Amino acid sequence: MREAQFQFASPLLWALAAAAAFATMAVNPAAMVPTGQAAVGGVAPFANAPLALAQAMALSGLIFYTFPATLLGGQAALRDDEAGVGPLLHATPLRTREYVAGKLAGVLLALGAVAFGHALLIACWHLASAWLGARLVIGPISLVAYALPPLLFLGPGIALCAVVGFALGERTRSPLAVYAAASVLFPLGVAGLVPRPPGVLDGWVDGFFVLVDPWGARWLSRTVFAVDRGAAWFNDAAIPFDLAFWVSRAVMAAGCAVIVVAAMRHCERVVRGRETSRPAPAGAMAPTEAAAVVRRQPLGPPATIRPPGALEASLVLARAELAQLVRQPGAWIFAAFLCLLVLEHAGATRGVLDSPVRWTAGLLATSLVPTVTAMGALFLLFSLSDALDRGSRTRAVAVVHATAVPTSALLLGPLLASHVALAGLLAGGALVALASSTGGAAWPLPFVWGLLLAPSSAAWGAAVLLAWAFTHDRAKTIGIGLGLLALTAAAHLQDRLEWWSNWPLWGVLRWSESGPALDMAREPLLLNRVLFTALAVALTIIAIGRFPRREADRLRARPGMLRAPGSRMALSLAFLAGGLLVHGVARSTDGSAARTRDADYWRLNVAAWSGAPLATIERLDARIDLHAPSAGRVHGTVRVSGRYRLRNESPAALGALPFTLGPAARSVRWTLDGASIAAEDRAGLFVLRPAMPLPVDATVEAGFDYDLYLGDGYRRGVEAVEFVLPSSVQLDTLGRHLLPVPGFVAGVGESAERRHEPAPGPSVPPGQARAPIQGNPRPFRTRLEITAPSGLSVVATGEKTAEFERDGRGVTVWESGPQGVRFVSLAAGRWTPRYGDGVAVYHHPSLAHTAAEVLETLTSARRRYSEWFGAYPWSRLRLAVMPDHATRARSFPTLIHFSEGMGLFSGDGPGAPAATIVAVHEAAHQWWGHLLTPAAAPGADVLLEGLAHYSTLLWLEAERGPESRQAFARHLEEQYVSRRRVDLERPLVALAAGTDHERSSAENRGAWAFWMLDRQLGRERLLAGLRELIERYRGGPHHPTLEDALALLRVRAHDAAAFDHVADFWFRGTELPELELEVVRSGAFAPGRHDLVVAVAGAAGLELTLAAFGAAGERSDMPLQAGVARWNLPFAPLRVVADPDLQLLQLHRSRAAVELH
Amino acid sequence: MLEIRDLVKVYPGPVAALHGVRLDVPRGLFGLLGPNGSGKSTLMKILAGLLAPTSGRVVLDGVDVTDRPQLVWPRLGYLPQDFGFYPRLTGEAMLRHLLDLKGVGERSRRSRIALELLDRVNLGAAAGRRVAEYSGGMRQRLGIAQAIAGDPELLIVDEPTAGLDPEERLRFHHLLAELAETRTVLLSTHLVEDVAMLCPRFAVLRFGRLLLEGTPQQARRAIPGRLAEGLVARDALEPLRRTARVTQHLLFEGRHRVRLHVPEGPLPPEFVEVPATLEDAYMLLTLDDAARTLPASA
Repeated sequence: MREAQFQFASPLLWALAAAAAFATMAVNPAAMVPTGQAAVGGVAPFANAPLALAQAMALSGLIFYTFPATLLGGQAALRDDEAGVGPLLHATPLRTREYVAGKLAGVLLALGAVAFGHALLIACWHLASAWLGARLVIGPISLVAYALPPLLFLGPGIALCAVVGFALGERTRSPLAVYAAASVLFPLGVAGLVPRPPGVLDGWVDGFFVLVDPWGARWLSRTVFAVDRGAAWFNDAAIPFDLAFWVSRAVMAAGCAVIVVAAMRHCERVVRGRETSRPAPAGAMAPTEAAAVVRRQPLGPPATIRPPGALEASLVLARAELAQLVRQPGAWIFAAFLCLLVLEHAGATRGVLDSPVRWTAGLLATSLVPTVTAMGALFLLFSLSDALDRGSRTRAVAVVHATAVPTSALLLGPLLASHVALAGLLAGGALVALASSTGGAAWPLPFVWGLLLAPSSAAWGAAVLLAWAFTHDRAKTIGIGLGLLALTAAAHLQDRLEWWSNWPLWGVLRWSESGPALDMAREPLLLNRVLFTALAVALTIIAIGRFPRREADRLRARPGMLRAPGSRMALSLAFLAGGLLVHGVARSTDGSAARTRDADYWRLNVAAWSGAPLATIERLDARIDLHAPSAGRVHGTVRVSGRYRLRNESPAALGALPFTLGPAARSVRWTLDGASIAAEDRAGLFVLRPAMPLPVDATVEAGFDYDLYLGDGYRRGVEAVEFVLPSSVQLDTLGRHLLPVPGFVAGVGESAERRHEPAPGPSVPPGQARAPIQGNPRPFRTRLEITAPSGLSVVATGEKTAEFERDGRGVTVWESGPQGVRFVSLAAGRWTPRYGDGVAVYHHPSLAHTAAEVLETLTSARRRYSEWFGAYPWSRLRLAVMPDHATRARSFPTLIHFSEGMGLFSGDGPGAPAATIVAVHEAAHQWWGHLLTPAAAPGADVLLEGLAHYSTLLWLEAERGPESRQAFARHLEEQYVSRRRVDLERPLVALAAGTDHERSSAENRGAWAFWMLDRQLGRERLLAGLRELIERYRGGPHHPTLEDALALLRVRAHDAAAFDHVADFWFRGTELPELELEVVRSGAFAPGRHDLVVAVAGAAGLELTLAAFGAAGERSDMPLQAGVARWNLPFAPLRVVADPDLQLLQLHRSRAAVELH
Repeated sequence: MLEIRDLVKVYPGPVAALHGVRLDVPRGLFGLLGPNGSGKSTLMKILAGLLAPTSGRVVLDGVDVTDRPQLVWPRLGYLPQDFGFYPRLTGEAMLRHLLDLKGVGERSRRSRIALELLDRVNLGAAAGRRVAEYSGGMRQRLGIAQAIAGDPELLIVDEPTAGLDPEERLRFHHLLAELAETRTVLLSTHLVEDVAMLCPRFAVLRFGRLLLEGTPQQARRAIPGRLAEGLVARDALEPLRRTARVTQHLLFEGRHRVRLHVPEGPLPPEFVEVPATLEDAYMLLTLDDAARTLPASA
């Protein structure tokens, strides 16, 4: 009971209780269930559904209880030792096992009380919400639903953490070991939740993680939440406890018991003297014996005293601290765990299309920054607070503080020791990272983890020093530190870390092997580092000034915090750097000024100009000058001038010509037919009003001239699809920066509150124009004259028709030709070009190997697609490999922007290397996007992404064989099933593709749906229909909807009813086959002959083939008829599989097979 | 010379630990005597620069060091009453570490100096053992070793002989006496015997007030009347306490040996006159002070 009293008095326990209470009030358990739609009506999951409560308890346990439970357990073991009462207690009749059991019982009682209170509070909160009509959706109240999760999910986790903490504290008597255990258990738990693509974890490894997950969260995610079954199902379903769950609980109980027994035995050995810390050295005599022989020495000549300076004393103290630190198991636990995390990251992280990443040192260094900084911060917090506390704990401060050591050294010594130990940890991690990388220079690791992160660790260490100087208490210092880390993590997760607050550099470092390191954000990065270096200096100076080496008199006034020399200067520098960062962030293209302008754009123009009649672009002539960046500016400016020839194809005269330009455009000037005109600037929507309205079918030339400051200010995120850097440039007209976009651009200035469901498809009579999903209604001719600094190669939309030098700068001219384009893009870089048959790849020399593969792929894709979907109208299709400032590939007419993160550092994807699949997909968009642009109507994305994926399936089968196609099809199926939201799913023909699950439907179900049509119609009929679709709609202004495409294909069906069945099921419905196999009969009816009958449910009347497999690899296929497949087999069947060749999209493919024994 | 001027220390509460202490500590051994809670350790901490006084001044060799403890530390050897060492380090490593911090001698000689110091305090044979394995007396001797390291000009030792066996205690007395020949040594203790044995000058502190400053001889001579010693039965002890001023009371062969202060008149029966000791003087002083302060505080 005494231990329980101690625990109840612990601020940590109360902090845990407060956090649990906060979580109860702030987090809706139903929000943790990935189903339903409660935002705007719809079916919502109950907050008190058994599964919601189980998930809430499991996640709360992991997030809130791991650290406190481990620390409280460890402190229970350490407290008596540190207070020196251990010998007193062990001198009583108390037996060691009673001592250990009592201690643990006290800890568990206290934690159990918090958990009980937590569960009770949740129940009360739900009841109150039900009565008060709060926003929580509450279902039927069930006591069991509230009682079981704390017992089965929270309880075992709390027990394991507390027991592990206690056992480590008891064994090592080292606080750092306990802290290290907490630091390990938390990320291990989080890692258990992260869904891994198939193949990353073998089934048994996954099963092992389920067994050892104390909170049961992994079991829940694998068993319950892997597939969405709709809110109604989740609301009614009981927790489906299975054998794996009970075994995992048993493993927890057994693990706890073993650990407790081991702790008891160890405690017994230590207390009763059967184990000594270290035997006395041989030959050492007892002091009394020695006294008899030691000669009394005369007092020798006085030794000289030269008090050490701050640096020397710091080094002395650091050396001593380091010697203490390396002897502590906690430091080694941290080191081992960091190496494990690096290995896990390198081995388990998946790139595009779930492909394994071929890491370079730079990629690993930057992608591991969050891991390294989080672990480093925890290590610094724990080791430094432990080192600072050691003097008080051992009472050595009474001696040390009276020496002539400068006060600064008393803090700088431990600080230095912790940093040296941290450097050792990072060096170990870096070696593991280097061993995990596939090649390339090693310098990025020390550069990023050493040089770049040094200010982070210095600032963090200084913050810990300051917390210690004020509290002079280890627990409070750790509490403050953990609170700061939690705040940082919360800000990061909510995307609120700014350049001036992002001390650990989370999410702002992107590595490129195609250009200079980190050139996207050098200036803010430098200022950020200056800010936190200055802050580190200032905080350290303040901490030294406040360090209570000499106990101050409370009745006397203390000097101000900033009185220490240097602190003001450092703080001033920090304020200056911070101010520059705040200003830079505010003025960037995603800063507050731009956001305000965009909001104004929406407010001023959405009613006036959304859907307003527009003139059609007939021709574009533009001059684009990519300026060399000046020394003081990271991003260059671009000067743009040119003119559109516009034709009024609307039924009435146009009195105004609206154009949208992004906030990066400055000094904008307009002309109409060569004469200057003052445009009305409506927050970025420029309205040109000709003197006379533009008559129907008349033309006018609208000229524009402006400077583009795309790199002005510091973007909050470094991900950018458009950029102008010294080493590379990427611009396009899907955005609103490069060229003026006619009319109002939907989406700009929309906030979450203003976002709305899209309108249903426009009711346009057949034969009338349907607007394209984006861009000009018709293709238009373009001529781009692009000037760039010498050494920078440029590619752009169209064919290169001229190349020359002007004033020492390279000029290239690009023309689209008569076939015209709807979009324009350009890219520039320092490349090595590779040419194939009608294709070219532009890449950095370091990416030569993958580039060769991409070139071959592109050549083949162009040839195949030309055969299948119609001839490619341009002489060359180009692919420019760009730095990975946005991991994205985008296809524009004649030019594909392909960031290096899209598989160039990846291994095999599903069916082919990831880069190959992405290149094939993007090449398909030349047809499905540019030659055919769908109408702005629901289902448009199916014609874009679904058909691009379908094209990829075709290409894989044709070029790489059926297995490749099947592997990719399986990947699409897994993506669709895992992202599907049953309650929100809309048929493909009604998709708006505004959300992740709708995009997934369009891409993945869309591709499979066309594959079903392929099977129903026959390949040639479908391809002929698709060619006709392109030819009919290519020139605009009519653009097809998905229904238009289905109607066109239906004409070619030999069985219209069967076509309608397939089209209705896959395109107009949301159902998904979920096959259940049952062996009705199986046995030998004659020597060598086997009879097998299998019934299949859930096929929804779709055609399906089953296959029986024998031991020697025999296979026999059988079509499903009336739900039954019958075989007369010449071999003994071992396994029956439904849809063995992946011809049918289904929900649970793993269940569509039975083993016969 | 260490000059203490009107030193006041008030802890939150408020609790006054020192009431304007004024004291001159000359070169040589100076004893600070007082019962538990008299303010000795507070005074020691202030003199060692580890505690800021509420008011008053501390002057060392003419330099005011009250708010500049960094001027004291290089010249100070300090053995606090309550202290410890890093348990995982060996005695030699710990001492070497402290020598590094104090800057004692040449760096290359510090290991040798550490071993010499350990020999001086009779810990040479245990130099390689971890401090965690030291007995209380051994730790105390290690504390003494670090305090005398570097031949400090000012040595402040707070209850230094606590935990030492008689032999070590004697050794330490010799050592202190030797050290005091050339420096100021401030010995804080509640053991009158130590002061009587070692200190040519001493002061008595009680409830934060200085009751006496002088030599042991002066203290003994200042006692008016005579001192008497005798053996009494247990039953007679309490009546005797009520009627006479008992300065010492010891058990001797099962009987009670009592020393009394007899200001005037005849000695009690079976008591013989004995010369006054410093302990008698100290006890009478504290009894007188208690008689003065108790009614006031009540």
